[in-house]
Formats: sequence, structure tokens, C-alpha cells
Amino acid sequence: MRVAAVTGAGRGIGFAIARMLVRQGTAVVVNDVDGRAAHDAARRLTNTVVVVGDVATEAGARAVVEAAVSEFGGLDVLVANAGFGMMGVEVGDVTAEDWSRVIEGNLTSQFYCVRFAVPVMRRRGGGRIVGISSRAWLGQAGGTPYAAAKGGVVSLMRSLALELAPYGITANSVVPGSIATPALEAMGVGARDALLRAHPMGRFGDPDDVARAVCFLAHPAARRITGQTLYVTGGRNLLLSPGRP
Amino acid sequence: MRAAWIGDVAYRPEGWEWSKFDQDTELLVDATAFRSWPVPPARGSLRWVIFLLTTDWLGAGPDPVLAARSAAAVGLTHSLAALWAGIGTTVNAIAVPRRSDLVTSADVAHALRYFADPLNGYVTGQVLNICGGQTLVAALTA
Repeated sequence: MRVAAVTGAGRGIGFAIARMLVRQGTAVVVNDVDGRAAHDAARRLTNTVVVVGDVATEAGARAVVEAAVSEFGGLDVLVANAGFGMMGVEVGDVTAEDWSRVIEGNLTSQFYCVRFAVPVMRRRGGGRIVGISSRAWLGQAGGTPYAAAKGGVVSLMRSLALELAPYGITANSVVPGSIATPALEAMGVGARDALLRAHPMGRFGDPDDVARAVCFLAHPAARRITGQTLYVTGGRNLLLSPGRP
Repeated sequence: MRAAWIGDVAYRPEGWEWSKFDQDTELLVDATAFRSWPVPPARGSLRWVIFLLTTDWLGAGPDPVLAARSAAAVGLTHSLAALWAGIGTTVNAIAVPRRSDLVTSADVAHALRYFADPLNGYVTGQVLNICGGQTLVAALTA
């Protein structure tokens, strides 16, 4: 049985990823910093174990990997998804604390998880690492720390791909665009409509669209796909005029 | 499912059994013959287009003509993906090394199935390099 760990799996995209992996027969470590969300998610799934904790800390990340080993005997797939956005703040108003918090929550957390996961995967003879980035990595006015963190995710995965290829471990980034999650729903109608107009498909993505991309890259048959950046954006990243919805 | 597969006829690696891919393929044409394509397709009549090309599109290959053809297919992928996003057609590309023992037909078939998945309508304009990381040093791959 394959074993996966999904961080930030309590809701939204992370939950959809965990659910799809479970449906494919994978045992999943469900991690979230929100204990209630993590347990609610796990109750809706089978073959899971819950680890409540903040993977932006070494202890939190270590606990996720250790749970995979102790509960399921190893780790084949790491989906580093946990993170949070920060938009609408001009660079002059970004404090040093803001910067550190966003980088730690969106990028350092992935590094910590990878650092603990790689030795386990090497002992297992291979593995799949998928880092969830964001279309914002291409550049986001009003979101400089978040964009920089998500760009760091792409660079992290590409570097891991080069470094870990000899061990049968692949590392790829999935880049979601605007996905219909509670965070998007929380936007005002006007802002949401303006955002929608920037999408060539005329619709937002579904969390399952992201989950399918992750499962594609996490599959054993994806052994030669590494260092790639897979955009789940409905073509929004193709537009030559970025706009500012 | 109605489907079309536009392949680059310049690339036919010996021993790869494309016919084993279990999708209904109505068309197999050269990217350079694209002017014969019914542009644009009627809404809902064409689910996906997948270009098959070589990683020579990055320009590092020894054959500049093949590099240009492959790069043209990348341009087509991006442009058609944006043009046809509103009519339910996804356009993606798979790039593989021209000569390599590393990548097999099974590796490519996995990606073909993903791009051709009827449920998978939100990924378009993607150029997926299946090369085991060989092309990562090229800036265009990001």
C-alpha cells in the first residue's frame, strides 16, 4: 500500500487531494494546523491518520513524517500544500514580520517537510514530492511576500528534482490559479466577478482539478516527470496582459 | 469521445507503439499542416488537442530545423489554448527527448491519459517535458 502525507489537508485544496489519494487506495497522513478541520476531514475519509500541527516548525513537519512511518510503515508521496495568502498590501507596507511569516508558512514549511521526508523515501527506494505553488509566483502586485514564497516553491522543487533524481525521487510543482475554495467565496461579488473575467475559460477551477494534477504527478507511472511546473489555471497564465483584477 | 491528436511527424522514435494508447484518435497530422485544421472547432466538438514534440524546442538540440518545428508547436499550444479555452477545448503538449533510453512509451502514455481525461478540463496550455529532469537547466522550462 502506498503512503502519502498531505499538509494543510483540513479543507479546500488539501482536503480534495487527500480524498482523491484515499480513493486511489493510498493511506494518507492528514495534517492541518487547525485540529478541528483535520479531524473533520479524517472522519470523512478512510485509511488516514491525523497529525495536528504547524509544519512551519521543524517539530510539526517531523511529526507528519514520523506518523507516516509509525502508522503506515513509510512514505511514498509528500504533498506540501499548507500555506496561506497575503494580498492587497503594497510593498512599502509589508513589515519584516509579515515577510517572515509568509515565507515561513508557504516556503520554509515545505523545506522542513522535504528534509524529513527524503531520508524515508530514500530508504524506500523512491518517492514523489509535490509542492503546491500558486499562479502568483509569476508576479503579483500587492502580494510580494506570497509571490516570492510561491516562486521559492517552484525553485525548491526544481532543485530537488536535480538532486534526488539518482534516488528515484521526483519533485514537481502544481500551480493552482483561482480555485473555488472558501477563501475565494469570501471575496466580494464585485471582486470575484472581476477575477472571473481574467479567466479565459470563464470559470474558476475546482479543488478536484488540483487534486487530479497532484495524483498524476504522484503516480508510480510518473517516474520520468520531474522538475516540472504544472499549471492548473484554466489558461489564465497564458494571457499576455496580466491585468489587476 | 471525439478526439484529435496532432503529432509532429518529424519525431517517430523507433519501437514506440503509439497505437497502444487506448484513445480514439481521429486525426494524426503534422503540426506544419495545421492550416487544414477546422479553426475554430464548434463548441463541445473537440475535447482536447495534444501536441507531441521533442525537447529540442528548448533550442539545445543539434537540429535547428527540428528545434524550430518543436518551438512552433509550443507557440501553437499556448495560442490555441488561450483561443479555445472558452469553447471547452484544452490544448497541451508533451515534449520528450529525441533520443533517449530514459523515456518509454509507458511514460508518455501516462501523460496522454492525464491530458485526455474527460474530467480534466482545467489544465490547458501546458508543455510537459518528460525527460527525467534533463532539461531543467533551460530557463524556458519554468
